[in-house]
Amino acid sequence: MIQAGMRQLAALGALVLTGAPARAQVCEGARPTQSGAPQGSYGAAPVDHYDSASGRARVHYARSGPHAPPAAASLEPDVPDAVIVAAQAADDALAKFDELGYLAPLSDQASPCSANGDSEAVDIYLMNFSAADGQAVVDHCQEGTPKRCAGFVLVENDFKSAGYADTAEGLRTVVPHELFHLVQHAYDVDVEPWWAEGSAQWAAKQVYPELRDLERFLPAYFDNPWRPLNVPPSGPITDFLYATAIWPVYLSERFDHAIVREVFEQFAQSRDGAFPATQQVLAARGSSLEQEFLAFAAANAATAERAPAEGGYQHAADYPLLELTPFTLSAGNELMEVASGLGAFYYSVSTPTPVGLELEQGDVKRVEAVLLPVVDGHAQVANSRPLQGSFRGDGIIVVAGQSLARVDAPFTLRVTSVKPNLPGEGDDDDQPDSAGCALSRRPGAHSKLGPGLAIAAMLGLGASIRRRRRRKDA
Amino acid sequence: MRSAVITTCFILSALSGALGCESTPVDDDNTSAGTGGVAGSSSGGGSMSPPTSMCSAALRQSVGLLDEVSTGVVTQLETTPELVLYVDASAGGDTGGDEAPWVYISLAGGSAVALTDLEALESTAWDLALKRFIIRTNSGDSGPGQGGALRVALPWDSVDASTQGNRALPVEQWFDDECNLVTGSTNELVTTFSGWYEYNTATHKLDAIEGVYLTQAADGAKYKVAVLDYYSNPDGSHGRVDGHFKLRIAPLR
Repeated sequence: MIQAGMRQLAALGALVLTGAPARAQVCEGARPTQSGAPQGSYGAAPVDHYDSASGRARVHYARSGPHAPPAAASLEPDVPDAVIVAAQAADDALAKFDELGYLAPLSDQASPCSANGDSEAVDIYLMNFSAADGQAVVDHCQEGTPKRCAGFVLVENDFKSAGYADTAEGLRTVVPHELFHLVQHAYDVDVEPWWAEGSAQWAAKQVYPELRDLERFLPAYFDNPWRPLNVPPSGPITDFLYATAIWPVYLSERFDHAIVREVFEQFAQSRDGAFPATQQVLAARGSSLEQEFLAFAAANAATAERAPAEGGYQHAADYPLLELTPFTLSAGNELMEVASGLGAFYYSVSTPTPVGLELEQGDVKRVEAVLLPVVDGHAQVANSRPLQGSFRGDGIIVVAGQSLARVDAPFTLRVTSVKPNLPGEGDDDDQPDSAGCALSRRPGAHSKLGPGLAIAAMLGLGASIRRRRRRKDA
Repeated sequence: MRSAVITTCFILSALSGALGCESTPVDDDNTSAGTGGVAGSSSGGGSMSPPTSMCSAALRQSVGLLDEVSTGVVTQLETTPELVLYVDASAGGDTGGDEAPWVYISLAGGSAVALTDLEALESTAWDLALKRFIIRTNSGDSGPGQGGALRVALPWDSVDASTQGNRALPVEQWFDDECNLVTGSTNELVTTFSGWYEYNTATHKLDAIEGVYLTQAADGAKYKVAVLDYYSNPDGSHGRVDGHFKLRIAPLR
């Protein structure tokens, strides 16, 4: 499958723009209705537009030529169905973003640019992309900081060979994603690409939960969990950027939907990066980035066929399966690894007899580990426990970064022998399911997501834990 | 105007899957490349980079290193009067760079070197590594060799051993002192070979810029290298698919 980077592109382009001296009201992008538009122009083709039912979005399209949408017009006379679907998707998205409390995209009514779509509505231009299917374009920004910008979006005209079931599915996937970039730009255009794309994927999912685009990208993260969310592979077009949607999914299930918006609000104030902004938001909610990343990493181990009956993501079974590195639990065995930033490492363990487990690292705590019992193949994320101590049974060790620092953070996992229990001292009664942990489930002790509260409570971390994208072939 | 131009490049380059728009001016200072240092060292040329050993995990994360040998084909298209190599560095496509290992080549042998990315980190058997549009030398953060490269805007035939003069060849230096990757304007890895192409806004392709790279191999031997094509067919003719290099290579005399 191909997933072009145009949704991501918009954010990166915005990053580049910030390298220039701040200038007010300078037009940065031309529209397809203008000749010489860098993304492509409708040229001499007759053009038309269609206003959404709410009047908040205007869909522009060519009547002929390569950028014209499919001609089928079964919904309204003489208006291509794709145009109407795009308009409806825009209305649905803008209404959902309103419901979630987001700022509306900045109006281009007072745009100094030579074209503004001839209305204050958000402009959507349908066009034929050569290697992508959507893009948010900044056309002018307000003066000062945060850097708030207005713009418009470009969306694929027909979604042929784009990996979608049909044109309508493509439009319903891409229009909300791109519009959310315009929402982001109403806070600050300089948001980092990974958070821009990940949150746009998450936001689009809120609009049409039945669509599967978010899940489609997730393997790029689940295949590389050692890679920090904020350290995508080099290059502007990477699936990883879209796969970071799993982080706002975690945050919103762990807390509530508002937390994603709060990160944007905080970022616009501090302009210090998405993670530092998240740290502040979490602190205000009585938690921390460290403990939530650890719980996030644990939740990611309990997906697909490892999804438990309780705890973990609401749709854990739909998410990819992490690969585990086997770690033999024989006394004296060691495993060494080097972490950096907020990455995570996963090890499968199994022992019929109790062993001790230790995590060793430098003087500065850079990683933390938890152990998830595995029962009948399901990772019991709600029963996660600190690594230190004895263990017997099947499990998954999760080692997660606790710092944004990138300098090497070596750690060692070590197996130690434990003194056999004397008769009457055993803890088996607590774990008849062979998990081997001296912990018993506490029904109701976790939130909707589960692992955040469960792990944090068990670790004593706080009682009140309380611009794309995508290729054309899927 | 500059920001607008860059934005345009961004848009166009993404449309084609190409990365980056700005080419490094010929003979300018490559600010992202250190000079004179060796692998794992902060010495030489006033390097600000910490020892590679402090950034080993960041290196793996940033450069996409796999414990896997590339299957990219490397063939000699010509051997006389000079070596012309075909290198298939297309694996991974536009978005899957994490999933494909680098192609390693030896300048002296004119052939692929079968190393995993992790083995290559400790090997001086290779001189250039290629993946998609990125070429790096065995030097600095990239490997333990004595490699490096400097681009000069001179005709191929006029470049000889005297061309370098007193200039040091930049080495690969990718991290700041906190192990953060220093990238180009499109988040791309910036190497000593950056600037070999120009983004063609008409074709949405990468056109090799005329110029020659003074190149030092891992063992210190000097070569000159030119990128002739990024869309080469296996027979050396110009094709349509990106990631397929045609390189011209000759010892510096």
